[in-house]
Amino acid sequence: MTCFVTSFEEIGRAEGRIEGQRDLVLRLLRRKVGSLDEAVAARVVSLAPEALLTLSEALLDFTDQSDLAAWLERNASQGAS
Amino acid sequence: MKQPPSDFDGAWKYALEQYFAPFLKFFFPDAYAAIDWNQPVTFRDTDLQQIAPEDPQGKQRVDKLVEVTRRDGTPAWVLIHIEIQSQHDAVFAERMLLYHARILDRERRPVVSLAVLGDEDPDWRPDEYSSELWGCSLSLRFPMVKLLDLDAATLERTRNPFATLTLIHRDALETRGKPGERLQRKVARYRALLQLGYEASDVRALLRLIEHILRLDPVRAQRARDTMRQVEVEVTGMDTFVTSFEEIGRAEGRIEGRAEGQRELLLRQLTRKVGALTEELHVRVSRLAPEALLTLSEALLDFTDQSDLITWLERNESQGVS
Repeated sequence: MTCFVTSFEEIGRAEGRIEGQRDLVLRLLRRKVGSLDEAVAARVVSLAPEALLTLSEALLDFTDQSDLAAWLERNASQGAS
Repeated sequence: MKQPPSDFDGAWKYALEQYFAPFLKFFFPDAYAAIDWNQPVTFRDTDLQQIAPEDPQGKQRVDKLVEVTRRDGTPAWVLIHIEIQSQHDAVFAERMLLYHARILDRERRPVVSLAVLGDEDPDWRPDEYSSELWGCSLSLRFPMVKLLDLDAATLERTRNPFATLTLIHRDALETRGKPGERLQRKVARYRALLQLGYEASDVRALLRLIEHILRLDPVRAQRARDTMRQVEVEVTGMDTFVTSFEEIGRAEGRIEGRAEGQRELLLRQLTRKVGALTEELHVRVSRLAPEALLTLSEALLDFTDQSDLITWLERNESQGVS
């Protein structure tokens, strides 16, 4: 029973991790390259956890939306979850 | 085993967001009676952050700014301050005045400031700010409720989530460092609220408050849950549970996970931006509160080396540490 309850906390924790990271990356992208259109935001949201972390580093060098588009192009095949 | 700290802030914040009308009805009936509850009620969290940038939430205190419509159709802003611990008198009253004045300045509409004091000092009862110099005087009097003052028997009889939350709050203060007694009170409190006949959705919300506030070490927490399930069967006569400890556990895990994930991401970005962090800097960043992490994430976009990070930490650490 103890394990049962704990496991739900673990599930929530894993969900929270990815949600928190997604929100943060979207926030920084908007700050960096301006507001994102829905399709682009949806592609970011669908990235796998590892790809999201990679994007979080890559975005530091972005200057405009084309950088993001190019990154998504390059990583689309491997990164979608 | 160590008793984990009560999350009073989280519980009061959640209850206010879920049950704003019952909050006013129970603590401030005059305000409740003057509001048109058919009109929308809007939480102005962002506006509140803007008027109080130096004051991060989650320090044994909950503030809420809510826009409502009065019965005569005119709008009003309600500012609620809940203090879990007693603060220095002058500072608290001054804060009440400053927030009040800032909202008034921004909105030019009636503002009502309300205080709820959840501390244990019966002599701490601020309900006024006043100052006078050279014939010029200023004063703000605000309605104040002290949780300690409320009559236990009346609270026990009242079916309002805030009557029950007040009891849970007082249970926690009275059983600090007494895990055996807390376990008993937790189960008894749950039985009492089931007997009051709350709707299933309210029972779930109140159970969440109990779990936030009447914290126990893992072994006792589990014993409490098992007993509470039995109580539920006894009182409701059903063996399908209205409550879901699983859901609650999942929600709590999610909150912790968010902060952990963001911390991890931020540390990666910092390393990429200003090079590998020293052990000391790593620790200092890891200790930042969730709100401070968000601010840092935007600030770091303009960092060029570690000195920028150090400067930022020095400016922000005092307020942002969790």
